[in-house]
Amino acid sequence: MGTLRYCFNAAVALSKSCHRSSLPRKNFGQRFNFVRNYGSTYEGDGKTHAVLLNDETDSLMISSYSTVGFTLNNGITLVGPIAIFPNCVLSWNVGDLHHINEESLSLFLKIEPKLDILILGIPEYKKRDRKVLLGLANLIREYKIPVEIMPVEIAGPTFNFLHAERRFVAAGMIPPIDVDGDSATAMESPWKVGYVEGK
Amino acid sequence: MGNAAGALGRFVTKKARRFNVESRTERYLEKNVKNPAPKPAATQREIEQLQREMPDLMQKINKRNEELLTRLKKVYVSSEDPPLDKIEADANPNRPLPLQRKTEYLEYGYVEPESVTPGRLTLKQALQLLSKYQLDKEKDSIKSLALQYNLSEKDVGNLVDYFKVYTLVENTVQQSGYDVNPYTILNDPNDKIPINLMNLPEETKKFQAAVQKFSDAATERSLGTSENNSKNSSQDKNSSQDKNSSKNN
Repeated sequence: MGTLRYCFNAAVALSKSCHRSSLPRKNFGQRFNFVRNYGSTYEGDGKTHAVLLNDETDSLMISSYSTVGFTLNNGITLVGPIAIFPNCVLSWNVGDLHHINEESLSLFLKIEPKLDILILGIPEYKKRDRKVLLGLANLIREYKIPVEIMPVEIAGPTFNFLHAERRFVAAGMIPPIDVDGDSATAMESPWKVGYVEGK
Repeated sequence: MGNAAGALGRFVTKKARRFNVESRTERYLEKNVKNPAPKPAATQREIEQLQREMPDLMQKINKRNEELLTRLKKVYVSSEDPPLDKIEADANPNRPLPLQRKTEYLEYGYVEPESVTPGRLTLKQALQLLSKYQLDKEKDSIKSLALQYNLSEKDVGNLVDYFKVYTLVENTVQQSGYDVNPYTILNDPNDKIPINLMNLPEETKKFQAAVQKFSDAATERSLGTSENNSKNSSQDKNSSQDKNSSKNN
């Protein structure tokens, strides 16, 4: 009986020491997941078809990105960081996350009517940049503008979808430092958004 | 310890309760017994009293009453819509109902406000301001633009400094074949080069020279970071040089 109790005690102690909260969390500090599971909308061959919003709409959307810049759905390539609004796009003269401040965001903040949502696409940031990001979010929220700061890779589709919903949305985007781990080439990745429809 | 023992006990009793539960349920369902819930004592007493007073009551209740059934067949309900003219008269002529549900196309994605708060500007105005400044910096200076659009000079300075209207260049990007981040150029605080390639070919030459200058710097930087990157970048550098040389020829 003594040995049994000893084993039981040991097991309880071990389970307590390895409690989930005490374990280091996976991806701690990385706030964004790149892969989302949308469930299965696909019904079968011939029953479903996809509608690509980039091709359907007559307004501006971003189709792809590279280390050089962005390509719109009308085939125009934009060099460098961009400030994109519904149906108009401007060149944005910033280098990276640390260049984004109240002055460089002046147009987004001063615009009338107020923006429904502002998206900031940032190429790459380290763990130590989290304070900067938080400060930036707080700064923009002072102007009562909802803000979404995310990696560029997912900021584009977000802008496209929000724009497809006819919201007054703006996005400031800086091209990524590397696409698929390659820093020098300008490899294009598709940013087309759409939805799947049943027949 | 107590917790663990409790859990163990619960586990055991649960298993015992659910032992052979499926076959037991099947057996119960096969019997097809219906045990209606007993009526309350007061109701029971009342029913017994009624049966004592009128022994043929239950018979009367269970018998179909043909007279009552035929009555409903004779009933017929008809309705008429109110006249349409009356509805039109009720509608408010000052606030007419919408005839189309489709929303109208908005040029810049927003409804143009009637008045703009001083110190702010609409998107349309911003585009005007930026293009005006880029076309003629002396005529439309920051000072005059600030007066024109009811903004502070500091704000106009920021707008003009950080936002620029694009100019269309056909195919130059593909032809030049550079592979370097253009924003590394914008990064440099000493010489900010506006990507305004309106005045071809002088501007493109200037731009390409700047790209060449910074591509060297970028490759050096990536050489320093890691070995794998350095291999890639050196290869890319070679390829870019090949491209450039072929173009020069």
